[in-house]
This record gives sequence, C-alpha cells and structure tokens, in this order.
Amino acid sequence: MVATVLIREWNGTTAAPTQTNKQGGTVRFKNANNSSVDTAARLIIPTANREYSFAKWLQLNISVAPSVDIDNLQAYTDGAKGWQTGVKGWYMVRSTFELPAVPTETNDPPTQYTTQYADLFTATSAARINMDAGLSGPYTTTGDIGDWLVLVMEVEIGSTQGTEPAETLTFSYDET
Amino acid sequence: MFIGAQPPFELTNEPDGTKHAIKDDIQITVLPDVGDVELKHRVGQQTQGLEQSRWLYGKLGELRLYVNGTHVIITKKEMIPTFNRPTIQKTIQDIFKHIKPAKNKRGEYVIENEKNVERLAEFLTKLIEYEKFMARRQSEYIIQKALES
Repeated sequence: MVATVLIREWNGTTAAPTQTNKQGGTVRFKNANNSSVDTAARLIIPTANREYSFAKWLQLNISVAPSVDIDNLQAYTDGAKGWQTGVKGWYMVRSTFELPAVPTETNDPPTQYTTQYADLFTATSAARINMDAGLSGPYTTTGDIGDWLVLVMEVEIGSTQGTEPAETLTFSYDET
Repeated sequence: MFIGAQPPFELTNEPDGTKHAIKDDIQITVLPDVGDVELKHRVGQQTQGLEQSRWLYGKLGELRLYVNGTHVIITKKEMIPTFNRPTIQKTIQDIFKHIKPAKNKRGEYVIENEKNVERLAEFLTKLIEYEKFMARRQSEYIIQKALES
C-alpha cells in the first residue's frame, strides 16, 4: 500500500502537545504558540536587538503505513530566500519535543534548547537536512517519524512592514 | 490531494534475488548478478503546495536509477525528487490539443461538443489547484506557453 505521510506542526506544551497537518499548507511564523494561519500575534519590527518568532516544530507522521518501510528522511529549501534582507529563517534539528518559545533576542544567531540555529536557506537539495539522525528509521507503522525540524523567523531593526512572500519547505523520504 | 502524484511501482522479489518494479506497461528487472541492489520509491512533498513527487529509486551497486513516467536517469549521484513543472505544462498542452477550441466570427474560442466541455472542466479543476501551488512560480508563463503551443 502507498504510504500517506503528513508534515505536522507541533504546538502546545510537552505534556499536552497538539499536532496540525501542514502538508500542502502554511506554517505561519508568529508571536504565539499555535498553528493558526492568521494575522494575530504578528512579529513586530524591533527597535533594539531583534525580533524572533516562536519556534515552529515540524515532524513527519505516517498516517497510512507503507507496504514495507520508510527511511532516509530529509528536508530542504530552494536556497533562495524570498524575504527582505532583514528577515531571516533559522533551523535546528531536535530528537525530543520541547516547549515552543521565543529564542532570547540578544543572541544572534538565535540559540535555544542549548543549540544554536543555522541558516535555513543553506539547506538546499544539494545540502539537505538529515531528519532521522537522532530518531532513525526505517519506519514500518503509523505514527510520528524522525526528528523535529525547528524553525524560527528573525526580523531585524529597520525592516519594512508588510507580509513576506511564502517559502516552500520540502521533505523527502524513501518508501518501499 | 496531490497534483502530479505518481502511482507507485509494484516491487517484487523472486527467491533467486531477482527484483522487479512494475507499473502499467513499464517493467524493470534487476538480475541478482548486479550484487548490492535496492528498489524503492523516493518521495518528496511540501508545505505551500499540493504536489507530491514520487520516483522509482534503484541502488545498483555504485549506480543509482531514477524513473518517473518515461524519464529514466542513471547516475552515481544521490538525488532528490524534482517537482516537475514540464509534466504539468505538458498536461495543459495535451488538454488543449484534445479540446481543439475553434474561433468564432467574433474571435472568441468555442468548444464544440459535450465531451470537450468535460475535458475543459477537468482542465480547469487541475488548473485551479495548480494555480494555488504555483502562484508564486510564474504560472502565467506556463499557461501562456500552453496557449501558444
């Protein structure tokens, strides 16, 4: 059977997390710990330091199991940031879900969960993010698979007000 | 719903180690003398899009085999699925060829029979979904190219 694999955003607390399918959908960076795609809790152009969004936690999930297994999970962007100069994207990979929060805004690059983020747009099809280094496959049954991709958006002083264009995040995997 | 999603190959193994990948009238057989062989699917899917890309992926010793439709790639490189704009463009072109709209005296395009209306409805359904996905990928260019063909 062909597997169905979802891209899910995790919110809420570690004790009571919620998951929202974002396959083909929008992950909205904002100043709140939720998955709503709205204009509430917007990022504010800062007057000191920088503005970071709440961390976005994304993980793959098998909702229909494959015939045999799934492995080799990876993620990447097109490498071309479409956002204005002062708006940046950052990522890290984690093997345990932690409370989505805002990184300390005096740090640049952002550091959170004892780890420093990396530039999201350096992750390209030629330099993909390994998404099952910590929680490794192969995966044979339904459920959450691989590590979490944690994303943060940064807005710098002097940025221009407005909505940034959408960027696409691609996940790939091998299925048997 | 995924646009451009490829149905999978049926993957089978024979007791002697021969492997088959079969879909429609395409059959790929790898004999056991090749040695280290894997046949699976390499799948890509995205946020901000409806498309899923699914390739047959073969690991044949040092060589890598990628098959999508009638496109076969043999390389030593590990590659990832591409989101195939030409496939969608070809679909649009093919539908226009089948519909064969004719111009009336006022220069308007007219679709002449019921079957072609159904084809156009199918085309528009695909186009609407495709537009959502390609909104920021210069889809106007693709449609223009289809109309010109």
